[in-house]
Amino acid sequence: MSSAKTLKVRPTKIELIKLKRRRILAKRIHRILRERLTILVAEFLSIARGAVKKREELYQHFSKAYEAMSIAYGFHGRAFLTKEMLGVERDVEVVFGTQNIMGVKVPLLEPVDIERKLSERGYVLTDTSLYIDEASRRFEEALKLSIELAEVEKTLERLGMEIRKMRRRVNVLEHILIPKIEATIKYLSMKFEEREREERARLKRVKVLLARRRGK
Amino acid sequence: MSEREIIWEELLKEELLRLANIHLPYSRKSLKQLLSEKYPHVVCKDGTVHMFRRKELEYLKSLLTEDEQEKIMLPIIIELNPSYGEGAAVIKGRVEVKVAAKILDLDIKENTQELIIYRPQIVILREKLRTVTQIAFSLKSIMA
Repeated sequence: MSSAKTLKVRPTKIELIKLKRRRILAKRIHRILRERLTILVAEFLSIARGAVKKREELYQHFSKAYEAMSIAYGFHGRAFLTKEMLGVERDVEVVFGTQNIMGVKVPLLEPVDIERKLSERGYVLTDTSLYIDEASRRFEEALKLSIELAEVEKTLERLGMEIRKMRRRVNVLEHILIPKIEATIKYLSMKFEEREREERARLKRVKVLLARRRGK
Repeated sequence: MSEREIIWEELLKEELLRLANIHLPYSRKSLKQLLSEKYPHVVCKDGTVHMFRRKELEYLKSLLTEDEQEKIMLPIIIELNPSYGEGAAVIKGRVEVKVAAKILDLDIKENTQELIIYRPQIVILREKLRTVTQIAFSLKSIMA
């Protein structure tokens, strides 16, 4: 048996017992890792489905927002809109936290009051038109969706990395470690059986020799 | 055994311990308590902070009575249990079972303490309540 397929151990009964224990442990870990991998993949797929929908939604929102914006530009003119927009700049508040998905730390982003009321937007309502209101509303929605999509995409990235790592571990156990341990157990068992057979043959030989001596 | 193999063995043991539900929180909190917090969260055994999405908490609030809001402990633990079959999981607790049954549209008896669900249902539950549910391995699945 080649040494590449078995572990280097001394051929003793103690080693055989230890190897059997290791086999149980390795199989247990393999089963848990496989289960964890299945769950992570299921999570990944369900989040990915949501991400695709969100991205499509975001594209639609942005296209509608820019459309509304260009209509507003057309109606009021660039100079007027630029002047109005100067006064409405604001900070966006986002609560950043973490969530734990099967041991994988992923971000949780919650935008706070992104969509404002008409009176809270900061521009003079009597000087502006519905087109500006519409453009503002659409951009606020797009911003909210962008934050949500950022969270989802980062989650996918982290889950993907963990899945790759987990798959490698499962494969090492499945294709390298467990077969190696099993091959070594088989090798040691065969060695002990052979030793036993040799011993039996030796005893038989001794018996024959003793019988011959007694016969003389 | 060689030094390398000893390291392997130690790594395997460590992996088993690490995997054993280290992502679960030290202690769970009631819905009422979480709703009163500015940033609703629990601390997990691996030291990370697990935050709850307020939208999901509000949704749970809409499903439950005032009394039940105090009784339900979050996150809801979905315990994978191989004794019920491959991919089966159990949800324990009267209020937790009620919530899960409502979301999954299942008919259950009043005061059911345990609900067995399967993989497709776990996916639905997780999609709807991602932050307020956690998947755990049962001791049986670890030690079997």
